[in-house]
Amino acid sequence: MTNHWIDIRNADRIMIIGSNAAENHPISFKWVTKAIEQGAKLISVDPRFTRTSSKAHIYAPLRSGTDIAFINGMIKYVLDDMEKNPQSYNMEYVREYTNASFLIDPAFKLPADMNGVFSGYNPKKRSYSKGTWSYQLDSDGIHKKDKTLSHPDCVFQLLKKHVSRYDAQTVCNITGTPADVYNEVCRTFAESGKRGKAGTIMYAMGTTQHTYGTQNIRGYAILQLLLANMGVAGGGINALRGESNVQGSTDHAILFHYLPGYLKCPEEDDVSVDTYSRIKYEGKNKDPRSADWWGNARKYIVSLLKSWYGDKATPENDFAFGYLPKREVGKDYSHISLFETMYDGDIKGMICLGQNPAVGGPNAQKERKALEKLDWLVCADLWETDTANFWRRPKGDDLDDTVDPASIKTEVFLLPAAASMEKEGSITNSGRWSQWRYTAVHPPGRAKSDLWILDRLFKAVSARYKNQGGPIAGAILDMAWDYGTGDEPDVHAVAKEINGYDLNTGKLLPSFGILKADGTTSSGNWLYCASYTEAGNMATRRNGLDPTNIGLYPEWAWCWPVNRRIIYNRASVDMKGRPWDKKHPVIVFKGGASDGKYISRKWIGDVPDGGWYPLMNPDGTLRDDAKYPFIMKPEGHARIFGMGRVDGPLPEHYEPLESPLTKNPMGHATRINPAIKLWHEVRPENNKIGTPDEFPIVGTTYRVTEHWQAGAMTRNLPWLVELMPDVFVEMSVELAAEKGIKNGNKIIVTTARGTLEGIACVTPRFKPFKLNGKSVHQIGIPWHWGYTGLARGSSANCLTPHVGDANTMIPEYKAFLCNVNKKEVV
Amino acid sequence: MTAELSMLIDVSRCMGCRGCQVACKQWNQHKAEKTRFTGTYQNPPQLSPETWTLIQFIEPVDYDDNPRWLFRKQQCLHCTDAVCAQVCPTGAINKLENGIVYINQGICAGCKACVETCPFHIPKFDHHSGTVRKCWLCLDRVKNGLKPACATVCPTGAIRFGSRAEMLRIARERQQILTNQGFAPRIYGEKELGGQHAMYLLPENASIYGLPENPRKPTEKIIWRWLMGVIPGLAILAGIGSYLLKERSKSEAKTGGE
Amino acid sequence: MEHYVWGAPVAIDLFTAGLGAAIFMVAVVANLAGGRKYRRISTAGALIAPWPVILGVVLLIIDLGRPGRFWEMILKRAQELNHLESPFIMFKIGSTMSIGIWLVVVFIILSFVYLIVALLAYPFKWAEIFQKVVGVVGVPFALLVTTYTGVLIAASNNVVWNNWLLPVVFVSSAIVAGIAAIVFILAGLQICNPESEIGSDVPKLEILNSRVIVVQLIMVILFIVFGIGSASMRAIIGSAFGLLWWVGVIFLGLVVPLIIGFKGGAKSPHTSLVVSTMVLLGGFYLRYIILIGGQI
Repeated sequence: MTNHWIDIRNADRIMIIGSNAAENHPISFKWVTKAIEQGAKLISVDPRFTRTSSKAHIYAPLRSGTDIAFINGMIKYVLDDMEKNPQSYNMEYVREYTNASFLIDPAFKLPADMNGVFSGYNPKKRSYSKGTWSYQLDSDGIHKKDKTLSHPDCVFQLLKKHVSRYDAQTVCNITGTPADVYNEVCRTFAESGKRGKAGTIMYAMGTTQHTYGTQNIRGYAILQLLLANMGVAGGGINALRGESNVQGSTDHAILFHYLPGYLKCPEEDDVSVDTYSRIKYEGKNKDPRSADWWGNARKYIVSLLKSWYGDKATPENDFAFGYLPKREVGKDYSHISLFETMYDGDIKGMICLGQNPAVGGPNAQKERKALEKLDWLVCADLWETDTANFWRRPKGDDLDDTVDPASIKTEVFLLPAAASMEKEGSITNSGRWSQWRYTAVHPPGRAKSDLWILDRLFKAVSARYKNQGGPIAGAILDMAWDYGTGDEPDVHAVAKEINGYDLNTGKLLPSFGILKADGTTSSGNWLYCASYTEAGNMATRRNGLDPTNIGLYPEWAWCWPVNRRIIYNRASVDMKGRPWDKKHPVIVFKGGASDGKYISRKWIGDVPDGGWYPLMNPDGTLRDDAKYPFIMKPEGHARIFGMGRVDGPLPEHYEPLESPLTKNPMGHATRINPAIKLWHEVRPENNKIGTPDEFPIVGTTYRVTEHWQAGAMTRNLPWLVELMPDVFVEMSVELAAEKGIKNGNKIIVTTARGTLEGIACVTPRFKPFKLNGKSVHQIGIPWHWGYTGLARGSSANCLTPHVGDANTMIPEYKAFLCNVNKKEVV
Repeated sequence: MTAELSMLIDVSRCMGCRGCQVACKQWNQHKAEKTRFTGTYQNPPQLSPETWTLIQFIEPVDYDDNPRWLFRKQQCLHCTDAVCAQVCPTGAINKLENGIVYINQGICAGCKACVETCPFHIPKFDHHSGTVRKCWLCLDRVKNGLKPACATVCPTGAIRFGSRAEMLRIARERQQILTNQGFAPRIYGEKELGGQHAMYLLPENASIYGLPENPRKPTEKIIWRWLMGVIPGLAILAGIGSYLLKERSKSEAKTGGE
Repeated sequence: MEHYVWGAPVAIDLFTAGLGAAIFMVAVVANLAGGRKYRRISTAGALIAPWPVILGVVLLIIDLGRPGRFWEMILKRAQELNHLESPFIMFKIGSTMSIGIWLVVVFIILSFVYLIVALLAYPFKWAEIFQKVVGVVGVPFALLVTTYTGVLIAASNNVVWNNWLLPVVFVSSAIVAGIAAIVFILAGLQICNPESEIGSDVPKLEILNSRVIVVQLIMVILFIVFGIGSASMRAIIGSAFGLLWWVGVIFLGLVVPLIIGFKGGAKSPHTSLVVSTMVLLGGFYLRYIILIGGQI
């Protein structure tokens, strides 16, 4: 989340798209409800009418996988309306804080001119070379801009040209949204573009789990920037994280391409701290008004290495940078890739901590089969999981899957783990708040905390290296590993290490601003520097005061970065430092002024994104010592045109890999995201893809309130099983009538990959989509079930394909092709 | 005199997450029921001795062709004019001073008179304990200054608990807001059956939520039920008497008397 | 029984309590109307009246979830003595069941007294006056017990039971069954003692009963007409219990005795025995079907 949970209450318009917040993030509705009661309008965009939709003022159905068309149409509405009613929008924000005014390489071409791809596409490699996706620079290396936003090469005009094809009729023919509802959505949400008004977008996996999930979010970001909703209270694009601590785990590098604090993972050509820092981070900007915060990365990577290798990280050995594993350039180590490699037999062992890929992974049958190729598998969980149990899974619904426990050689270790209430430590919520939790009860039996498990594992591995040696033994043996002498590692020592020390004084550091690249500071995660200082553990703070009255609660727990509750908050004020929204000011500049010039610096409110002077003096003159508000971007401006992604600088509608449409309805030849990896082509075995003539129905998967993810925790709790005992398949009354299915009937869902047995939930909450006059059905299946635990049933992920987003590789769980039939009773 | 307490169930705020249902089971240590998915999210299908509250999932059809999804928390409404307590022959059910209608499990003989009389079909007979059980507004928590378990966990403030006066004040406030939003809200339980101690704020009519628009005690005007038995009974007996008298005089006339 | 809040034991209670009280009333009326002339009717009635009611009470206790706590309905607990109206006795005027329990208790006592004085009235003429006095005192209680069986379930949340005609249906049905029970006893004794004249009043009773059955049938039809709005009522007369209802309760239990009565009574005590059995069974099934059917 750019903002945080409580901040939702400050919104005037809330669009929940790609999320079913009421069901999957019930607590968020505490604040959504508050906002509504203060007059906010709630828009729910979803293929089916959900518990979220039941509370919405406007419910807009859309076919799974058509968010980009939906949002591009909204962007077109906003741009058209801006021309007619510029006073309804914050043009100063668009002009000064986004890259709308930046000029792009004249050689850049949009998909409309390139048969569906952007310039630079290489169809053989299925990838782009991004040469033309770049800013024009002047002779000083500073970006060329046109503040009138009228130059044909400027981002604003390119965007306008790009989305001009997404008129409401075209959009509705793609999404299946009724045109009147769509127009109402556009009009209603665009009202948040007025100065002083705020609109928030809440999204989750319905947005991300597509082959163009990142571009979906790009679409939201562009819309929010045009509406001046980033950085303000009640605004932002807010990713509702699906697990209580998934934000924390991402911050601490659960993803393969990051080190802690979103430092990029070194690649094979990063031979030293110096090359790593220079190639990846430094010298990206020449504009003195841009803070280009990532230019500091060298300090962070050195402090990280000092934290990991302590005294063994010295300037002489390049701070042990050589010990860091380097990934192959461009190689993908994501979930699908790992399991495809495992299926090929190239992975020998797996440690699976609190994860259940046998249920949660796409094309789950293939992944279950891949587990058979392992020599060993360690699972740490509260209950025996389907993954730990894969070797005796029932056969039946699996197409090519025959299970013979006797022939499976994988050795499975099941470690009983402690639940969150059974151990002390921090969790970081979606709003980036790190909150400390205490042990409420001790774990039952021999269950242990993850920290204990990892500590013992490390010590055992380390002892083995010490005794027997091994390749790059120093990477293990030189590691600083001191978390106390007790049975349970000292979790405070870990938290302090994450914060970091001044290594000269031995004192905890107060902020990442003073991290150094010379080896005199350490920090296990620069973003968390300031979380555990000499003043104490900030995550334990429980002061309920809210001096700003917009729900920041600055002394409740702690928030990264540096306790900033709303990031990009310097975009919430005008160039002179005065808030756009006088009722909900996030920050206000209160420095002294003399002769029309600011002469002293003082911000009140939230921790500002850098405490520099505002860009403009009270008399309207620009200041040279000021910085642009979007400090994490080299150019200091938020990117409407985003050259960072691999699949295009602007979002273009493509169909899901499996789609009921055989052509891109935007009228060009590029049906699917041209930059995704096609696993069914490179590894066809057990990676079948279905066609609409055989599988005419759109399928999607989701969660319900009553179960948690792959179900290992909740499917073993009788109280929750009672609420949601069985796999069910939601479908429209119309589809049920076509198939002769009645509410409560047992039905079979098939895809090219597998089958699922479930109970029909025939409901008016699903309706067929009208696409260009053609009726397309969609069904939905919660994916929590598996073959282990109290409540069992078919896993919806036996249906989903192995294909991922071009940027993040997140699997396309949300849109696939299937067929439905009543189960014949024998 | 203890202040009257009340729960306020603001249906307009409920999003059907069912945290209340689980919290109730957890606090009262009730068993889970073995259920099946039957085509609705509502589960268990109805209240039981082990399920004292449940969210009813209502999907009205034929409403401008737009789907709707309504959620109502079903539970004991703790009537002031509590017919269950009135019909209880053992005195096991009592309305306490704070308004809670409480079944003393140590006295209840399991006659089920309350089960058959409650206008909301709340009390349920438990074959295991041999007694009738229902929501007690977490009397044990309330006595110790806590809110009932369901009110404690509700994320949206759809379930509130406090003094009845305060709940009514909030209900009226919310009623006004909802009226401004174009609803025709009703505070259900303000006056009904002498005033309930679990009131609903309904955004529209009660029947769509499965509640009687005008709940009445089945024992109302019970005297007429008695008279409907006694008067025809007397008439029939009189008829029998007159027939027998006539037959007697007939036979006496025949035989000339005894 | 697992499925219904009130099952077969309660159905039997509703039947037998009404039956016993009705027998008592018929016996008293016969005694008042004919004295020694109807001695066979009144004595047979006096002898059998208490037992069905006692059986009903036993079944009612068995049907309790906690039969051992039956006394909670009779006596008050010590801690409750201080603030309730009656000192030791558990009696609640608002509780139909509480009223019913006390009505039944008083009735059973009175019916036993009546049984004794009716037996004494044979040898001792002076006892006849007592029989009449006890009878007159007992009839209101008997009538209230009969009515109680209807009021108990009529004053409920059940759409089938909550029918303003239900008490009169139950009362008239109880009287029909009460007369049939006396017919059953007298016809049975006649068969056992073919030489005696013990069954001589049987045709008279059968004719009498056919007239009551007319009332009963009208009430049952009205009951259905007024209750037809509910699905449960439709189940009673339709799918679930249709056959038993129309053939068992209506045809065999009411129409057949009606015809026989209007034809001047059965020609043999054997026929009377069979017909009266059908009436009794019909009376039971009427309550059983309404009780169970209402809970569908």
